[in-house]
Amino acid sequence: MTTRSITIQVKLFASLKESLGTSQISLTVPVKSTVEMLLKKIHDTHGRDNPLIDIRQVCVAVNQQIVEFDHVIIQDDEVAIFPQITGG
Amino acid sequence: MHSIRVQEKDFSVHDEWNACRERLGGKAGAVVSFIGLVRERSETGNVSSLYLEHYPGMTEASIEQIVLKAQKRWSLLDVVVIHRVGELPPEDQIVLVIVASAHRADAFAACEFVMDLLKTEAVFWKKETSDEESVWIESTLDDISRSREWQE
Repeated sequence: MTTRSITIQVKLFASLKESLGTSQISLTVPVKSTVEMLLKKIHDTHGRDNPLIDIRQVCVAVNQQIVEFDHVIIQDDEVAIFPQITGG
Repeated sequence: MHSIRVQEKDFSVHDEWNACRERLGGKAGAVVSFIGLVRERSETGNVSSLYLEHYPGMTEASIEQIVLKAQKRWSLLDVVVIHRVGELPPEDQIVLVIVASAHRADAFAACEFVMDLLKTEAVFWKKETSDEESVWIESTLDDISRSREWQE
């Protein structure tokens, strides 16, 4: 039996965008993955040696709403990861 | 009534003020405005530019939440927020807040409230370039404390 997976486009902002050199990455994760699982995948694939990608320091928005790390991602969600906002 | 814009281009205080007056007709007795500028000096030295990044859609929504909080708290006739993004040199205008009400107390308080919350709750990231380096900056303790005071 194969595990079904979904592909998510993840938007990056500010220092995270700069650090990874791109404003968007594509990740394939199992269905019912949480935000935490997504962050761990980014950490493992893109940021193992990158001190900026600290999953304890980032905020995650799904469909432009800040969510907790146990939030479950579904296909076609707009996911964004960014450092703490600093205001205008 | 409110209007929120996030844009790269500069704004004309004169034009925005005239448009606001036209919308208000004779209802307002007080209009308070605030204009924020890029300072030429900061803690890191001489600033050559300030770069503001935003998340289209989410940033406007975060500003609207702040304006709605102000409208709930005070009796306001109009609120205008224009915030610039992109690379801004010292002396450039960054932000305009205009608040209109029947009486001055509401307009003064709400304008300060909107500005204080913009500094901590609006979805922006700022990078300062000085003589020495370029650094992503955080909200200052003063900004955080001013914003918290409104919540007490």
